[in-house]
Amino acid sequence: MSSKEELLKRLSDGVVDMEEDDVAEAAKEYLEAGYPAFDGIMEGLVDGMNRASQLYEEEEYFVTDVLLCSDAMYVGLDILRPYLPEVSSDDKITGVIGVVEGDTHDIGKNLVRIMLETAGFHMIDLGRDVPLAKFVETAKEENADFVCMSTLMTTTMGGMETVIRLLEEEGLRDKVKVMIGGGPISQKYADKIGADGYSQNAVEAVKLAKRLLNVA
Amino acid sequence: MEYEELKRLMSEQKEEMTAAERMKAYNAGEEVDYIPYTLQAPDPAMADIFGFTTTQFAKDFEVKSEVIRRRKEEFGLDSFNVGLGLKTIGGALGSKLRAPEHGIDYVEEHVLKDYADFDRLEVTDPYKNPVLAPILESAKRLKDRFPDVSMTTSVAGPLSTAIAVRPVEMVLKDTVKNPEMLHKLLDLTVECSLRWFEAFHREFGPVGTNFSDPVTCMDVISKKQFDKYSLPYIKKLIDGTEKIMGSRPGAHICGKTSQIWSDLADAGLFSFSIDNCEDLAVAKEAVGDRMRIAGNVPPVDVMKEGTIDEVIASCKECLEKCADSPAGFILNTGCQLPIGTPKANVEAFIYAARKYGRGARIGKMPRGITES
Repeated sequence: MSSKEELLKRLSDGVVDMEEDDVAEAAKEYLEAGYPAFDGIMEGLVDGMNRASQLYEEEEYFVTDVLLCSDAMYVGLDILRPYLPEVSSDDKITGVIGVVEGDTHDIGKNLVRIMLETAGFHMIDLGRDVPLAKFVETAKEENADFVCMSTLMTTTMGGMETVIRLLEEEGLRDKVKVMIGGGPISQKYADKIGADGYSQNAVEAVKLAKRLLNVA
Repeated sequence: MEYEELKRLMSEQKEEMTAAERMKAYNAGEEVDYIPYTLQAPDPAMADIFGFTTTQFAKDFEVKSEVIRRRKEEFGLDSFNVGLGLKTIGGALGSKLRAPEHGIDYVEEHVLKDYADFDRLEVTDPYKNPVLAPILESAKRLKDRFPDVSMTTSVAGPLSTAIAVRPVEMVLKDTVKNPEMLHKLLDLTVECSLRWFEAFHREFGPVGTNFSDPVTCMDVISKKQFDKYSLPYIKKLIDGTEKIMGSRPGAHICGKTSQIWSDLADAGLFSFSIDNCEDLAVAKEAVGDRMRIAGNVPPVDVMKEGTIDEVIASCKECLEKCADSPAGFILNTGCQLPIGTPKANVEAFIYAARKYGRGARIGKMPRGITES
């Protein structure tokens, strides 16, 4: 039987190498050996995803690779997650994420969500073409700490400013940080509409969220 | 500067050539009144400036005619493009498109989520396809109404067309998991595009052509993916276009492209419109002797959000960097002109093209730069 370290390494490597079958096999062996699911996720799968994002940052990996890594990670998550001890999501920092109304390009948003989830944030994904009021309603209902919005299109970017105004009207703006991103978005635009931050890619988005929310 | 001053300065500028005359003389190596200029895919923004929605522009022939007329009168943009958008062939093949009243259309449901359905897709016939036939029809009516204005046409690049047929994340994963079917899909997209150019040629004779290929950038795919899944099909599209029209197409690719410039030049691209995230001076150095370069005033930060002075400064900077590029230069925006761009900024762009691009000649800095 393999040691815990060996199995964690197989989980991590399986994610980095985009090998779904290897990840599934290692996850099952890991559970059979009686090791805690939480460590398997954090030190195995998430570690693999972190290594993948590092490779992406170094331009060794590209979007396709990260997508395939995250597929492999999700195969492992589906196996390990049912064995996690019940943790109330209240303990986690909650974010609401979505692509603003009128735009259905969600590949970037999905990457950001995956990265934020692997970094330990509880993410509520509203999907794409999200009505602007929905961001605010959800942030209120879920007592969210931050909202992430993206768009690839110049025609819909104005919606981000509307969401910020709506948060102000609801008196939530002080409690909820706003992060934005997407093709036409820039730091200049973020400053202009009064967003708390802009990030250029998924790896940067995690750093930004941690900085805005004072997470180590 | 204030808008009134811009208008006053513009009224002192005289246009001596039409866009078509200018381009012809520029290509022949003669000195022209101003550097050739264009605004990338400006129709939605132009419709907006003149008070129409994108849907009115797309569906109402009179609205379309008025926009074309006013664009020529007010901005000197005297050519128009009747082409296929990024999603059009996807829609023609059966993807469900949605067009907001005022905005850019998008795919609501892709037709090819399962390659088992691939054999049901047929090369689209521009005369019979319910999505394409009305576009061809509208081109005919516009040409009847504006016989003197030059008309061009365009398609989307192979990989960009593919993602209107099949979702982008699937297409990207296909490069690893299902290369064989992806090659078939890409072949189909090129055939559909060439069929469109053929119909256009049959109706209007040889016209200028262009393709946009936003997916083919190094932000989305790797160089290896480009070499295998994009370049061969771009090459097919370029060669096929040249065979049909007798001239090679131009292209616009959004995002980072420096790694593929040389390949695009080798593939025979005539002109390349470059995103504002790349540096024109570097592009000129790398491929300016082999490919015409167009670019690259930032569309959002400058054209839509910037001041008149910022637009002028940005145009001047582009000209200083690249107007003497050996195979020619066209002052352009770095990507599509955004809806919501103020009229004053379009005018500032044209003012700057005329002021700093004055006395332009291929491969030489314009007099507007050297004598100012």
